[in-house]
Amino acid sequence: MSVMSMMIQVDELSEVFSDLTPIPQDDGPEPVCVIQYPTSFRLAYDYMRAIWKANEMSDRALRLTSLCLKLNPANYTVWQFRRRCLRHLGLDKARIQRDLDMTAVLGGSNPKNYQIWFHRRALLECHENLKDDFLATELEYIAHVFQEDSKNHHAWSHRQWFIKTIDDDDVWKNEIEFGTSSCTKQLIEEDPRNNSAWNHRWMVIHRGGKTPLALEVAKSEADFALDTGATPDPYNESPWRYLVGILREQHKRQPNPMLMREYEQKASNLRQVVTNSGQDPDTCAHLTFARIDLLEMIADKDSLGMDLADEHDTIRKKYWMLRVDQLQQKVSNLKA
Amino acid sequence: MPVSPSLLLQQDTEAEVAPFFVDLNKLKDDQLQHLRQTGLIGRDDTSVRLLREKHIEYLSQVWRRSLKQAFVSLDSSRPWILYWCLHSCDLLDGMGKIDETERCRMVSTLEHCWSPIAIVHPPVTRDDDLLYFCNAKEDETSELPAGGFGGGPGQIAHAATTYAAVLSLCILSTNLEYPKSARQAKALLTKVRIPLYRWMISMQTESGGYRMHDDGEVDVRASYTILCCAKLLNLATPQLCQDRVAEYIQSCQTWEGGIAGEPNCEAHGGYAFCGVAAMQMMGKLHLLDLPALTGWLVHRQMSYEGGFSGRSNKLVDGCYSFWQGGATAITSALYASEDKAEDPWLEHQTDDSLNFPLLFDAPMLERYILLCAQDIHGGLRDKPSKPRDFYHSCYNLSGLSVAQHCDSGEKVYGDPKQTRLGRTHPCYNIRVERVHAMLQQQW
Repeated sequence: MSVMSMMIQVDELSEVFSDLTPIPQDDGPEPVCVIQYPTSFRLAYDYMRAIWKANEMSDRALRLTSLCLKLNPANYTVWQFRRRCLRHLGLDKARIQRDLDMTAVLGGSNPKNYQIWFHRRALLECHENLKDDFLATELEYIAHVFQEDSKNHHAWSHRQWFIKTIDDDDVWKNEIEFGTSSCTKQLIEEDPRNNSAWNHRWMVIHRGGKTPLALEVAKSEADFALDTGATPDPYNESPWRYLVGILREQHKRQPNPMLMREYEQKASNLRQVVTNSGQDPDTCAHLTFARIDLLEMIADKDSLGMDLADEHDTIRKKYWMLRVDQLQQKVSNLKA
Repeated sequence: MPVSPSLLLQQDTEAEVAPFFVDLNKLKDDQLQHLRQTGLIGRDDTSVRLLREKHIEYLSQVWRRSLKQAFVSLDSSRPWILYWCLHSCDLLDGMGKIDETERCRMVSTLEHCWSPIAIVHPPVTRDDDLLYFCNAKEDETSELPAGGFGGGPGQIAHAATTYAAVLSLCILSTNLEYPKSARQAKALLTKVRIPLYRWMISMQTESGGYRMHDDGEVDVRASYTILCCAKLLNLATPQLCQDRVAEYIQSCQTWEGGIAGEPNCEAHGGYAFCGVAAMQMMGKLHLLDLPALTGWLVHRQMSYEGGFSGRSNKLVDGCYSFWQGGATAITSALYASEDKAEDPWLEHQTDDSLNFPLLFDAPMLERYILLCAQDIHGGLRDKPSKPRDFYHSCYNLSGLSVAQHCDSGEKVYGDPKQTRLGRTHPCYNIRVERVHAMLQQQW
């Protein structure tokens, strides 16, 4: 059954719904925020209201929702009613797949609407065996959207929910390593400034949980951030934040001054990379702030913060002065 | 190695914005004359102005004329359209241009967006907040009226459109110089208050997150929009604000320090605002990892452009002036060295001096908004290459208000008197005096 046959056409409306009286929208007298609805829009929704009044959940009602959603994919009430129809008619694997296809058509190549993505999730949630039946196609669909927009926030959230719901060892591994539908390593290599990909990597390496990484894994991730992210482009904020995130997590689990010093040193070494590219390493504010964060964890007094406040990151002057103050307090408290 | 696509986009954006950062003192006479004609600078000097009348004119069309066909994509967001324009006019001190008839029409339209439902309520136990469950019975299941505001007539209750409708009604009901519409707005709020509470409770999930609508998505926006309505209508009961509500928001704080829509997702300005404001309204902001949150927030301000971006390595966008600027303003309150007030923006209503610094660079943000976000024909936008719209008008202006009012002693960018907006409350995003009036209401 083709996707288009799932949708009623405007010129079919009066025939297919000849037994129903279309109900106009009741905005009350002299409303505000009035939209100039095209005739087709008005007619489709007038019949939708008639269907709702009759509380009819049928195949023709479903086909009408497709038309109404084509006209306004953000109408969450129509989406919710569509799901009621689907449940009433029975949601087997075939129907789920057809509706996923329909949703993909309605969404376009780069859907940024909540309802489209939630509908996919709601459909998939109804199915027991996601890994066998929908893993490949769903990951392919998401990867397809990433081709249009590698930072589509909804697509990433959907992928995170999907992977976590399946919660399978091989799937987790594929999200990190190079594979045809893998994400993080490939996307980070394509664009090390793709912060969404870094976020996904964090989530995957933690298997969607909050348990701190084992030390060896943490070091491996910290090295990845430095080597693949910061070294080619020290001005890229994402890998520095990732590095600090990984190390802060270790520090909270159990303070490890040696680890902090080791990576502060590695960060510091990257100043040479900046110099080699012909720039003044002091201007690389992200490198400096990473060093500040790491040094702070071992309560090491430094003057780096003032340098950022006064010269190299002046837009954040108030913040850096606050940090310097706090650090001085912390150091003097320790000494007391 | 090929250049990062993100870096290229960032460079393009800086290039797009650069021509707007003219040094006004270095312009030739004919260029200055042109800018004077648009109203961007004054007659007597070169300080930058806010195109107040043009913005009000642009925003007023929403109640004076109908919106063109393309707006069908916002057919499920009509209370939003009203709130964006009404609140913006309020900040611009343009409420005097809206008459009783128009206001009553607004109340009536919102009334037609009210979506009642019956909620099946299980037997009440001694721990329940009996006041609000009113007629709920002790031994049996009862059906009680509930409801919320939808995106339009016949649309089911939705947390975001409820928020927009409630905020609009708060603006109208506290405008006592227009008694007829104020009474009608208040009457509508009174009518919907308890049913709304029942609906809000029914949206709470096991995880502590709230759903946006029946059979809808759960994310941090719902936590904020529902809590905000509850606070304004004095419905923030222990059950609505129980521990798991804060715990859910805490679980949305990410490794970057910012807040995501759901656990495991990417930290993002819109959700950061929702999470921070919701926690602040519950008095639990200190439960978040503050150093991480603050560090992330301040880094969202772009060094060159001065405006904010929504996520790391993404582009500046005028709407984040409020989402990120507001979140930073709220977070700044926790760095007050003396007694931390429950609501510092209410306590310092008439006096602009808050006892804590605003942690972002307010003049740089104001500069971005005034020079890059204003459309010379009226309305505000994401960035110069994007068209104006009501949403961006609202959030650029709200961000401008936060920058002007939450920053004690800082010199404002632009003509200080001419650009001055009303004072928005960074948590609720309506004027502080209106929040104050709502919190004083007897229901």
